[in-house]
This record gives sequence, structure tokens and C-alpha cells, in this order.
Amino acid sequence: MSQPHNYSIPSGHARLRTTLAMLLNAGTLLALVLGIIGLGWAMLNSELMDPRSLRVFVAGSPSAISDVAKSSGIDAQAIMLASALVLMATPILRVLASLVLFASERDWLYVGICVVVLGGLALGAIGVVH
Amino acid sequence: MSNEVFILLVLCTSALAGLVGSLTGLGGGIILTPILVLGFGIDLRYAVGASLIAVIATSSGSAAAYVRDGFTNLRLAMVLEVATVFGAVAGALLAARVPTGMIALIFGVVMLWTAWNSSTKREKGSQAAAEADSTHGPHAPATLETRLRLHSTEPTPTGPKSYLVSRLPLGFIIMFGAGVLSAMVGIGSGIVKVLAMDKLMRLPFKVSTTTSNFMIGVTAAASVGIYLHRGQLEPGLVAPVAIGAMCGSFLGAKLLPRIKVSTLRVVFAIIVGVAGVQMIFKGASMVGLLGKNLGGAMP
Repeated sequence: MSQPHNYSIPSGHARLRTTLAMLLNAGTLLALVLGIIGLGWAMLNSELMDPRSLRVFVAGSPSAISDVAKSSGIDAQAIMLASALVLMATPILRVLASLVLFASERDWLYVGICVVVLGGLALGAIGVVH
Repeated sequence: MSNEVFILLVLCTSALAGLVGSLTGLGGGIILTPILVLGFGIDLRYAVGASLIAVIATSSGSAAAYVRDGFTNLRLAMVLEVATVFGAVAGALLAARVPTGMIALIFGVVMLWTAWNSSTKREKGSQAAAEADSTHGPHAPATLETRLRLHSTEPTPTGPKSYLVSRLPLGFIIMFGAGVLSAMVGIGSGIVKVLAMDKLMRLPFKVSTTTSNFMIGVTAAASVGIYLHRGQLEPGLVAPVAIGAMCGSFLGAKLLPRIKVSTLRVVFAIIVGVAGVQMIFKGASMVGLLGKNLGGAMP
């Protein structure tokens, strides 16, 4: 009988899995809690999104960030925006965390791969801005 | 429609998108964008921005469980992310120079064909064929896949099952194409990712969908900044979309281990079919066969 394939999981893989799962969980849960608080706040103040205001996109309209920056203090909009920002940052932080973990294991090949991915993301961001 | 009812409907729709997206590895934007536009009359640019957030929410929300359970092939995802991220950069550069409408049209037809094709089971013994391709066994000479330590195990009801990764270079090239496509026509990159891993690299279907699910978060995060900058992310819309998508994806992650692969393939085929029709419409509007509004507004 032939020997079944049995590829052992590389050392440190379990730690990578646990850490990334924790990070992804923390990011989504934080975004979820912020989103619920923001939405609840908006509901209490009768500031929920009116679908009619989304029918036409106004080109060159100020971004949500500049809107929030202009308003004084924290409001429902700011908390909902924070929720979205946490969500956006989570996958990027996940690549960063992988880089750190691979570096701690001296797995330089995968450190290099993470650096290239981050470099690509940065290049995209620069290209997009210009 | 009162604002409360609108938000409730958006929450429910996004939850459905998150559920289906997390199960199929496609993200859910394919479901959400047309419902927001056609069902709620929201401008496409707001809808696309919100859908992108839904994709990230779905990816991160379910990836935690998929990574912990051992479905996601982390190393493979990281290697292939190199291709998708640089593909996206290339796509963004190319978008202004090539007829994206025609590409969308062609891709739409390919997707319809794929939908028909992928509802049928992959031929039996294809994993065996993959192993024969690699011909190696545990003590094999170092192939690229072995050197990168990509072979792994998949959790099954009867315990972990080993599988081999094959045809990495071809998969890498296709993933580059997925990145280009996502930057040029906005949708479809999840589909290409799943298909490349399932059909080409011959990974188990659940490994393909969960690894794609893991990767699309980064692909989407790469382009979401510009949507924020353009004012396409409206917090009042994005918040219920994200909440719904996260809840749907949590449910999807709980369900995936119990769902039969054959059922999952049927769901996947339906979604790909719907996406194919969308892509054809988008392509047709871009090349001027339909109203110019739809295509012109796409990223």
C-alpha cells in the first residue's frame, strides 16, 4: 500500500493562523461595534440616511473625511466613518502582521513576499492619487 | 420609503451578500451593487463604493474563522497576492489606454460559459491528476510549490486531508489577470481567483473559495482609498452595508464546514451566471450599445 501524502504543517503555521484569525476578528468586531453605535446614534437623532440624497452623485463633492473634519466634535457620521476606516485598515494590517511573524521565524522568503505585497499596495495608492 | 425601512432593507440585502460572498469566495459586490442601483435607485458610484466596503467586511468577517479552521491556504494566498496587487496597479495604468468595454463584454461571455461549465462536477480523480502532475510524493525533488511550502491540508468531516498545489506559475499569471480585471472593470476578480485555484491549480473547492475570500480583502483595500477620496463612500450608507455584510459573513463561516461541495458549486455557478449578465450589460454600455450612463460611471 502506498504511503499517503502527509505534508506536515510548517512550523509556526499554527501561530500564524491564530494571530491572523485574532487580528481579523478584532478588526471586524471593532468595526461592527463602531458601526452599530454610529447607526444607533444616527437613528436616535433622526439623522438616518435618506435614500433620496443618494440618487445623484455630485462629482467633486467633499469626501466623508473632510465633512467629518469640518464638523466640531464627534457625531454619528464620524463614528460610522471610523467604522469604515477600521474595516479598510484590517486587511493591510493583516499583511503587516504576517510580515512580522515571518520575520520572527526568520522565514526571509515570505518576509520578502509580504514586503512586495505591501510595496504593491503603496504603489497602487501613489498611482491612484496621481 | 421611510429612512428606517430603507436602512433595514439595506442591512438585510448586505447580510445576504455577505453570506453568499463568504461561501463562494466572490465577495458579494456582485449581488449588492445591482440591488442598490436597481432596487433602491442609488447612484452607481455610491453603490460601488458601498459594495467595496461590503467585500472587505465579508472577507475579514469570515476569514478569521476560515483561517482558524485551516481552510485558507495562507502561504498560497500571500504568494498570489503579489500577482493580484501588481495586476491591479497595471490595470489602473492600462484602463485609460485600452477599450475596457470590449474586455467586459468578452469576459461576460466567458463567465456565462463558465457558469454553465462549473455547475458540473470537476472530473473525478483530478486531484489524483494533480498529484500525478507533481509526481512527487512526500520525498519529492523540490518543485517550486514544494520549495514555497504551499502543499497543505484541508479539514474534512473525517479529519484533515492532504492536498497538493500544482501549476503555480500558470495560476500566478491568471491572478495577475484577475488584478488587472478588477482594476479595469470593477467586478469579477473573485470569480477569476476561485476558478484559477479550482480548475487550474486543482485545489479542493473549499480551499479555493476561502483562499480567494482571504485575498479579495487586500485587493479591495488597495483601491478603496480612491473611492473615499472621490466622495463615493457615504458613511450613512456604508455603515449599514458593512454591518449587514459582517453579520452575513459570520453566518457563512459557520455554515461552510457543513455545506456539501456540490451545493456550493451550484450556488457559485448561479452567481457567476448573474455576474456574466452584469458584465455583458456593462461592456455593452461602455462600448455604446446601451445608454452611456452605466458604463461611464464604473471605476
